[in-house]
Amino acid sequence: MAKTIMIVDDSASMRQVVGIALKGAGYEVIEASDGKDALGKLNGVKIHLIVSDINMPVMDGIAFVKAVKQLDNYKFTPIIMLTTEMEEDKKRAAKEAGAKAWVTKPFQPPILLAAVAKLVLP
Amino acid sequence: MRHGQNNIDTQFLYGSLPALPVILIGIIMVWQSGATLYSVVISLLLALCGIGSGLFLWYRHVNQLTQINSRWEQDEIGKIDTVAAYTTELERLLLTISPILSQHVMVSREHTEQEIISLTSRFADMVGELQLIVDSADNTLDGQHYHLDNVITTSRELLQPVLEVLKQAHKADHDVLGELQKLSGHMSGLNAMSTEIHNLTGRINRLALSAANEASLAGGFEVVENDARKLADDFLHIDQRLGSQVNDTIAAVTAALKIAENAAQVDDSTLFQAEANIEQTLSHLSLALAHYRDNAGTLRNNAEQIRGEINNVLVALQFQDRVSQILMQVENNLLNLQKTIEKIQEQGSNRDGNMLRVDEAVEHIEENYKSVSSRPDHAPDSSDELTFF
Repeated sequence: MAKTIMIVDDSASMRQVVGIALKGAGYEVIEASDGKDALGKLNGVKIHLIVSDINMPVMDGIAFVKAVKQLDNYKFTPIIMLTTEMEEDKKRAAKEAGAKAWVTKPFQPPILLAAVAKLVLP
Repeated sequence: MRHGQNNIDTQFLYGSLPALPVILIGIIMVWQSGATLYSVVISLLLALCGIGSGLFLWYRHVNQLTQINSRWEQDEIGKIDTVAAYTTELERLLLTISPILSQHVMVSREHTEQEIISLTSRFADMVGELQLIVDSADNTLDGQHYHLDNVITTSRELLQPVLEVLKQAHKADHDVLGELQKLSGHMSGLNAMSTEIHNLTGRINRLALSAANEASLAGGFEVVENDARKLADDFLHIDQRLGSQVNDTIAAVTAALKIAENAAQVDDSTLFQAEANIEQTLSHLSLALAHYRDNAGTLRNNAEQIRGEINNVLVALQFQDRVSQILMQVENNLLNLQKTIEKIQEQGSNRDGNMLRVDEAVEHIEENYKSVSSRPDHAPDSSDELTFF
């Protein structure tokens, strides 16, 4: 059975590019446009991994990671930050919030898939 | 008060200056002609004339200054009105144009994003199609059931029994030819036997003639003579029939032998040609399949290369994310400009240039833009691209 990955990004084109890469590798994909939208779509669905942007309207990526880590059903779900940010402060904030990896945009699909393969829940 | 004092001083100055030379002339006249009433009166009159002239000049000067000041004030009020009108129009222009520009930026951003999504989708489909081609080529090149070498080998294995059957048929033809040649030999024997029967018939005839002669001389052997003659006739008849049959059979066997020999020669040639043709066909097939395999390999490699290029294009298309962020900053900046002007307008005549806080606004815009534009346009080094925590 295919594993499900949630993509959280306010850019529809980025969601599509990430989705193409993940679907090509055999994963199922759920998309959300920001942190709040993503929290609404979790709703008990089994998610094996989350790929999230940082700069998003309504609820940014760091706040979203912190919120996910408060949820009993999802606190162990690995989260990869996929962002154009390169500042060390942001990286540190993501790590402290509970993210497991950091991938910079524009990304090479094999790099993202390597991170996903390493972190995805069994 | 100070202004009034200056006015008095100025008035005194303007009134005194023309009087000074006249007073001086009066003093000189008094000094020259003595202090007579006449000279003193003249001097006083001259002094009064000087003072009057000075006052006249002063009042005229003041009047001119007042006129100049009035014109200047009118000019200044006109300029202020012009600047106020310009400022009002400038504010109106900014308030009108900011939402329009913001709308244009937003529409451009949305259209670009939609087109990029469409383009990305098409490229993704192309990658899928190319993957199918690569998989198909892999099956062609490496598949168990369609392995090209197997096709050649299987074809050779299927054609080999056909060749064997043809060879066996050819051998059977040769055996028939051998039997016909033997039969032809037997026909020669029969022919010799027919000759011997013919000779024997002649001898029986001669014996019958001798018997007839003996019977005519001795009498009483007419019966033997008749039997001998009849036997000779029968032999002759059989000999003729046998000879005829043997000749016909020999002719038929000879003809059959000739046909069989020709057929054998044709079969030899045909079999040789068939074997050569089969080998040549298999060789051509093998070459064609080798070409096909090479072409399939080339096609596969090309498809793989194009797929890689399209994947690179998909990575490059991620610039849309950056473009969207920059355009969103532009939208926000335009909206902020609009709000700022509206807020200042609410102050009415109390507004001033400091309310714009231009430097602070520019610094804010630069800071926001820097956070977006300072990111790399290309993929960072792999060491920066992925970090595990």
